Amino acid sequence: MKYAEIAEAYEKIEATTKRLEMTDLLVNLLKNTPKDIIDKVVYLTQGKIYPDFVGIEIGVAEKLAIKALARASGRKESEIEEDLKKSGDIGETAQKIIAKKKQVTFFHQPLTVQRVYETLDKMAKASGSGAIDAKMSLLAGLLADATPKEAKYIMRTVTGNLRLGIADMTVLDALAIAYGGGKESRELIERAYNISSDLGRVAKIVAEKGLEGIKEFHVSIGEPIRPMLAERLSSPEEILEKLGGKCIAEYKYDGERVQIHKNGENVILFSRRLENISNQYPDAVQLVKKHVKAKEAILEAECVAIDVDTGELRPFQELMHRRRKYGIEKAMEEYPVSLFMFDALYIDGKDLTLEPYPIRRQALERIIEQSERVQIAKHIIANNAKELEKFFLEAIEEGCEGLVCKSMAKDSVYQAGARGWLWIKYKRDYKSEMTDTVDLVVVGAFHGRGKRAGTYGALLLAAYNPENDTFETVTKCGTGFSDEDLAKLPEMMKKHVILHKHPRVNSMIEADVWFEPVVVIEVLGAEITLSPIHTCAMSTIRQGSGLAIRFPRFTGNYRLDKAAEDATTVNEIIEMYQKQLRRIAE
Amino acid sequence: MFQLKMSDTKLLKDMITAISILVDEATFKIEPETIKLRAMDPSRVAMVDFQWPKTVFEEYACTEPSKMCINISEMLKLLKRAGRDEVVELSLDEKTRKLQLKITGKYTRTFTMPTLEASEEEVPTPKLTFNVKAKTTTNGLSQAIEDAQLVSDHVKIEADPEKLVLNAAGDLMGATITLQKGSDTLLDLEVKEPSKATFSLSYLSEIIKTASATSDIATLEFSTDMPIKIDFQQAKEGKLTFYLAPRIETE
Repeated sequence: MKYAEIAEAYEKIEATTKRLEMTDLLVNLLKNTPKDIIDKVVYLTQGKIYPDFVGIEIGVAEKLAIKALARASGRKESEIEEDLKKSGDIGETAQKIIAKKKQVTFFHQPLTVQRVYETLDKMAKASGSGAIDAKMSLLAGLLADATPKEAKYIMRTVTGNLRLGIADMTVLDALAIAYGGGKESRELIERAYNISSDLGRVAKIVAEKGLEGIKEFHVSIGEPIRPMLAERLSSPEEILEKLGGKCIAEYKYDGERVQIHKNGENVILFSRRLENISNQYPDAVQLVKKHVKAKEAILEAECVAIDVDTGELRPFQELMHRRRKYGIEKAMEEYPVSLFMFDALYIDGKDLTLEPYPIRRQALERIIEQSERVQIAKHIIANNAKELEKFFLEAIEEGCEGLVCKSMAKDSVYQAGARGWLWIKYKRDYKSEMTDTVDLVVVGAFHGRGKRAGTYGALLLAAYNPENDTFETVTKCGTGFSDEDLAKLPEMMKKHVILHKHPRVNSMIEADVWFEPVVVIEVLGAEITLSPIHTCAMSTIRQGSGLAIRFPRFTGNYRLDKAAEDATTVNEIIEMYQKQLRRIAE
Repeated sequence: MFQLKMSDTKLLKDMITAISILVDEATFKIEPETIKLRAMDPSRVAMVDFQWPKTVFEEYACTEPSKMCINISEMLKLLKRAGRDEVVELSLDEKTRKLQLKITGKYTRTFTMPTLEASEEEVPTPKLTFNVKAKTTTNGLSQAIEDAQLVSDHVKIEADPEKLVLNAAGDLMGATITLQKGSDTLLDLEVKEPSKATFSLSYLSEIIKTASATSDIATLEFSTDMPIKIDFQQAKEGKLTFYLAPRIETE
């Protein structure tokens, strides 16, 4: 097949604004494409050479493209740059420049799709010290044999500017019409796409084997399944009504959603956008190898930054430190992660995507050996709004975004690639960020584990309520303590240890160790949130809820100058909460 | 079986360097009497035609004709490790398709490198007739090209029965370089009819600069607006010839 045919089709597609017309043009192109290269043509129409999850991009910088164009045309780089400034489109500039090229070549050969594809592939895979030069001369080679029109689309393709506006769904429509016998077959073809994320492979199978081939299409390890997405509602009542009065409510962890593909010792993690991100999380890969008992599995989990010493969740932003090519070992140590599993799509030969959610969840529970670092997402089965709300507030306070409420109905299948009402997110509409530090009273402590065995893992902290002369708990804080702090804490607190909760301390949480309210420390938090378990300002803002500090961090200051009664008061916390309350912009 | 031994490592390095300016993956044709390569650069603007008879080598053995494709810049990196008085030996392992490169001298090191899938494309020899034939010293020719490069990225080469003139015109500056027949640089000139053609200096200078290291005499052949052939005279029956397609100056 001549590349000119594709360029011709691109030109027509580009000229239309009507989706139906675009589909027709695509149908024509696909029908005229030899079946053995239809996958390549599909990738090319989307400006790619592989499905996204393979992670191979052509990646030619504009500068390099200009050099190649100069080489192939015999025109000066400065002249090309000048023209590009005017046109703003490297494709159009290439078209113009190739039309008036000065350099003659030996043995002109018309471009075939095969040659264009293979050359782009070579360019994408060029690596090492000579990669830039190699890319340049490969591109120049294509341009030397290209017609002006072909040059336009080649240049746009290599620089990532093809932008024909052909959506995945348009390709699926066109495939249904061209090879599936009509638009009715679209649903079947779309499912194949949703479970493989590979339009090219779907195209090749439907072109070569028809709908029969598509029916036999399976989930397969290594090909990411397009993720199921959740709708959103903002009250527990609405959510329960939508889900038939009952649902599995799960913590919506504030991390990175990952799709885990495990085949024996081989583990791949895909991001929500289906990019292979295994290299960012070598620790998560190890955790999967160790704690997933199935030989083969496709699972979904939230990868969350944690404080390994306290087990506390850390904010999403900390994962940003993992988005790097180099120094991942160090980032791994500084920003460790846990996996919270929430779905199983495939286990040991069995495709679970068409099973209802409770069944999938059970299957998941059977193959996960839970540990501190690998857990099943915390959940409850909720059937009343109050319970759901309470669970929601707990989730927020622990550092989650909110809840995902999932249908337990018979038809609660995994809707790959779709946003539907089987899953409903419940997130906060408001939040109150903390800007100032507070001075809190140490009223209790929890035993440390791991590195912190023998000292405290976290302290239970309280604000002062002068009206009742009591101390009301507001947060559990384990972060910000230096090794030195940790070593001397038990010694320092020893003289304040008491056997029971102090009568002036008001707490719903059971601490491992109780103290008399004497020591005051300075703490900075990220936010103040409603909390069903902390007693500070209980039922003041909302019935049944107190206020809590989210993501607290000890600043290192012991306020020895302050008596417990000089600590931040409950009213001050209420004021801070109200003053900073803002609607969350989506 | 294929293996060879060469003690003139400088010539070997220079030859491989000259080839490397046009091709990255080079497919050599190995025959019982010669080793050859004919290849174009990816842009199809220039071509190299190389041939060495077995007599160039201290030892040369090839039992049956075959092709061997290697990454030439990788090979060059290895060859650069060989000093002037050292000896280079190459041998191809038929089973693993790996090329072994052994350098012996002050000490011995043996490198192995993979061979690549040989290109199927047979590059034909361009069928050209030339109206001008000019024999120059490579040294003088290199100098002339360097002069032209100061002002432009292309050069017009003109010939009449008396002289060869290189005209370079840049945006602001210009240069005219005249080589008189019978001068120290232009040893001989045969002109059937006056001719002129323009060539990219980036190609021309790279070719002349690198190939001159292998030879003292270069013979240029061209016609109006046709490709130029530059042959770098080699010892024995060796051959190193380049072809370069012209530029068409329209405006």
